[in-house]
Amino acid sequence: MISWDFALNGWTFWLSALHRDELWWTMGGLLLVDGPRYALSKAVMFLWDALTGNWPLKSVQDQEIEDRYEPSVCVVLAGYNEAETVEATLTSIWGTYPRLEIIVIDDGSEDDMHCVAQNFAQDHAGILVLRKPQRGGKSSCINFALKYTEAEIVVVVDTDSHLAPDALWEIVQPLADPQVGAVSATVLARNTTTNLITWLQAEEYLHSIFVGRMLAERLGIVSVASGAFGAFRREAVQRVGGWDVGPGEDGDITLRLRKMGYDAVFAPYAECFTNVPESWPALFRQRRRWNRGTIRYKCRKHVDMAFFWYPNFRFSNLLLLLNVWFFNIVCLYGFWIYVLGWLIAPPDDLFFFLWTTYVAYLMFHVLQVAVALAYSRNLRRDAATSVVLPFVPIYQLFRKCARLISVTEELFFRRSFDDNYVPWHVREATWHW
Amino acid sequence: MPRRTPAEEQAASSPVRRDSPSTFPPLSDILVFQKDEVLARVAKVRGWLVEVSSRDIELEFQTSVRFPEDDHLVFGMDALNGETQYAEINIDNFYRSSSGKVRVVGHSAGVVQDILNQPLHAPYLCPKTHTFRFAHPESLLRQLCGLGIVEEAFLDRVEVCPNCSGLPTFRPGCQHCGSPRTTLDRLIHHFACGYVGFVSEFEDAGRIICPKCRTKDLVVGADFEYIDGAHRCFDCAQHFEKPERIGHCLGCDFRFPAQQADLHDLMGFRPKRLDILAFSPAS
Repeated sequence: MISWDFALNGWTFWLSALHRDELWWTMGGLLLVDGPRYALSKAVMFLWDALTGNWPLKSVQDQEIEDRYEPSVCVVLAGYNEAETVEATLTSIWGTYPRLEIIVIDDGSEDDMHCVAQNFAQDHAGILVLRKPQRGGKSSCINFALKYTEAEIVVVVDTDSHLAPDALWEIVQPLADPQVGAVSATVLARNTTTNLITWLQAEEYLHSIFVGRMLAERLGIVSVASGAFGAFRREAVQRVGGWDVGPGEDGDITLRLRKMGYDAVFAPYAECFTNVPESWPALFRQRRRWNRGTIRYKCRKHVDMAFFWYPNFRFSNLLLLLNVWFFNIVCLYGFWIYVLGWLIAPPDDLFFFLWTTYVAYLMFHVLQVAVALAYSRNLRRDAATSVVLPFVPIYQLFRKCARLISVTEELFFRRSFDDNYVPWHVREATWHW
Repeated sequence: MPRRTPAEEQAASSPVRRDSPSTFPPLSDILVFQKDEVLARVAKVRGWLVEVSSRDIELEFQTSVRFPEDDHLVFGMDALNGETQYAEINIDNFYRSSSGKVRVVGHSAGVVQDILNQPLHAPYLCPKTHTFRFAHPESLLRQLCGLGIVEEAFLDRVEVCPNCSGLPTFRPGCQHCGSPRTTLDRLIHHFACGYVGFVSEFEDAGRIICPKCRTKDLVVGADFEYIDGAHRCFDCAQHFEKPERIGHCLGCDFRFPAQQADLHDLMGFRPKRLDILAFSPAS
């Protein structure tokens, strides 16, 4: 059996014996793609904030109540068969904001969701519960709710999520700027400690959503106000005709608002806790849906955002698309071609190559964790979430697998329209972008 | 009906004098009401029914109490079943007998007698105020109830106005203002673009056209579905899932959610009546 010391010594010897060019050609491309994209860019953002005095970030807790922006808000909860979770969601929302109305839309559920919501509404003022005769998808539910609100801001919350006490205050603050049409929020895992899969997703959400969208906002390329928790200016939403058929309707409407000239921004301390998939197959299905949506909207439906001759062209929209095209398509296929090369002609020292890659990824990720903790408002919780750090490179490999499959099938076969997320009669009737 | 003999007729018309106090059950207690139905005195006395006819009733008591004329006397008598039953007389005269006992002569009359003569006193609905009332002053009935002369009996349970206890009507109405002028919204969900709007938005010269994507001649079932929306109030413009049962008081016009109505027990009063004429030899 190879001892730890022997392996470590062997690896350091191999690494020191490797010529710099060899190291560059074998791993440089890989590391320079994922490195700058995630870790280095976030580190630069943090340094920039620290140097310009933006760090620590301001939240509504730092503001006097009379200084806060306080528009009327309508929270829309659209769900299908969510009887078990809808009450907890309502409890977390009701009473957390002064000018609040809540509309619950039961999308033709077969369980008691409608009754549970109705019972809650009987004891709590300002809640309207409506029911659709048959399932029509989340978009139709939100559009249905839009007909019954005059609130300035529409906030969409998933019925299996719950909000932090000041989340509504946080998410409406950026909308004080009339140019802002959509606000994205931080979505965190509620069931972090259920198993390793949920824990890894919680860690991923911390980096890809909490810090990732912070970076996207700095670059002006926020492309999605999550369906789990996102705020929209009602007037803007009505101008674009409401939500289109999903899946991925949250990203779709954000892009449509951007095309209309509105900005999409991020409220990092507007926190929503949602249940994440607890098994690999469920996680795989979820990621397939997300990735398909990305391709469908950013490579087809809203590709006109890149047309500089269009009157509503904005450079930030082009940058948003380029970001997706390069990292989600070019780099993805580049990575798997690279892996394929390794599989076809594996180098003699493959183990050392893999180990070096793993360590490099881990180091980049440590940097990301440091940035996330620097911005964190709940250091203990986020530090505990980051404990699964050693497994993250392996988890990223899983995500890349899921992304390869879903991007390929969407690019070539438009499989997003087979997704059961939208009922059959709706996806058959809608346009297949 | 069998005809009476002349002797029987005479016996019936002439007062029957019963000098022996043991002929009738003894009287248990007496209550004296003044002319304005105010209870003046309650006493437990030893007494007897002395004479009963269709005109006069004469009682004898071992007491020093005075009985002013025109006052009313309610007296109780223990029936065979052990229950005390009551009757009232209007005092015509009283005098002290040679044996030192008090004799009271009177005739059946008075409000209490009227109360005692009804088998059950139920409240009626006053057409002016739409509240439940008794033909006799309720305070008097309660007083008689407290004295055991009448007993309270549960008749029914009704929902009444929380404001004036009047009788309300109930009908579906707006949850916010109580108005019955509400309508159910009818909407259309266009499958292709996901738009949901009121039917009036889609209707265009007899055709169904989606206002969002402008697709024309939509076919129900294939292209769109009808959705029942919320109810809308014409008076306050609020919307709600389904109308609430709203109470509207007929007495004071107050509107209130049905669950806020007061539950009111309708109680009646059943008298423990002593049929004094049963002791008459003619009966």
